[in-house]
Amino acid sequence: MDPLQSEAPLIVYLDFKSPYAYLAKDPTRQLATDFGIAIDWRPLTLDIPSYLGSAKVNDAGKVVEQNRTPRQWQGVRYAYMDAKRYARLKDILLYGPKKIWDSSLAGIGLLWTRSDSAVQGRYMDSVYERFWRRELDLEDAQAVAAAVAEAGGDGGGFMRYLAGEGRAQHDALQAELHDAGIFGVPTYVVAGETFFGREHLPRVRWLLGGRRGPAPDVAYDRFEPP
Amino acid sequence: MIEVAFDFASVASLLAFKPTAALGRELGVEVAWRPFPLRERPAPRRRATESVGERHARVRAEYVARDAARYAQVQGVALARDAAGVDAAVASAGCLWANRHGVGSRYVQQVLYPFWANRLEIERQDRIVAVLDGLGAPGFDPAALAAELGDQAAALRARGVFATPTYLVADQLFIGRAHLPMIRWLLGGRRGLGPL
Repeated sequence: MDPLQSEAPLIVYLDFKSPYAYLAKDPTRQLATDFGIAIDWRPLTLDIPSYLGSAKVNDAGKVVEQNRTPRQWQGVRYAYMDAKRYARLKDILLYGPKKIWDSSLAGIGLLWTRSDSAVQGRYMDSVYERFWRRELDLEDAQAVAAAVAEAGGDGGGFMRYLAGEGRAQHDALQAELHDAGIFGVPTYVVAGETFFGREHLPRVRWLLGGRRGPAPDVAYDRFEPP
Repeated sequence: MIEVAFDFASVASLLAFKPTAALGRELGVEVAWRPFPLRERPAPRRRATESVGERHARVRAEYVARDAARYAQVQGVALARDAAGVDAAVASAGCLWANRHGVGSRYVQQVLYPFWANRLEIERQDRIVAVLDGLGAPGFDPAALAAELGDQAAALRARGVFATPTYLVADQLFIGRAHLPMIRWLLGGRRGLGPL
């Protein structure tokens, strides 16, 4: 899978453990509706400890393990505060994770469901909502398979895919992302350009709409249908 | 009022200036420019052997540079240099002096754009004095403002500022100009649907 190429006009990389990718999901999906296009959703399984340190908290929210610098803590705390204030405006519930999750199983589920956009959409909605309510164990393959099945997909098929081609496909894609200039989520690939963050949705929308009018600046903003 | 902690040596601060000033005019509120110099580090370069974290940092830095360039083009802003290692202390002290004389916004504009176009050396006191003199704010002495600059930076840090540009609005912090729709919504009385 070429990280920058797709039959769809828009590739979107996401990770289920990213609150920013969660916030981007619906406004990004709106692009498919407004422009009548398919979106090629792909997993980018963030290796957070490699660049932002790691931490665990107990049930009381107290940090019990960590290797972050003060600067990394500032960045992480700001990011969750920021994501939560936008989430509140959309009635999205975000509980801070107690640890850094390996979200690759859910990412492989995203690949498995890609042949049916309706199933994939329901799967994304379900996994995001339940994970961020602390109701889904992203590291439990059976739980992810159940989410696939509940979305209308083939849960048993997912388990076989996971054991073979799925894991290999996921890992091969991850290995190519940095060389393609992709490092975070959500990342949009459109017209050969990459954009990191939902603040670029105005620009992505402008590109998909045929570059009419002046190019917009970055903004976390609502969209008007074209 | 929209308070903005910014850094002359931050390209993100440069790109925030126009849209921030425009929002201030649109809402009829003052934009208070608070210098918060953070010495930019050189961008990581590709090495023969990189850890995953080092590669992530390099790829991210390369992306940030590309992103700044494309939005500078959108804004019609010249980006002719980087700011690694640039000490913005004198220019920042100059901003305090300009604010004191009621010409803060014009000063920021007259320093930011020429600096990034590589037409103004902001580490040189004589260059900053010339800008201030031209704005009707003579008598600038950066040494006399060093303590105030340090106090202001400490006060901003105490309020949670650690990056630029940071907007301090309605008891909240917002890093980056992408939040301007949220700031418009907050200062406009939270009418209608909030931003995304």
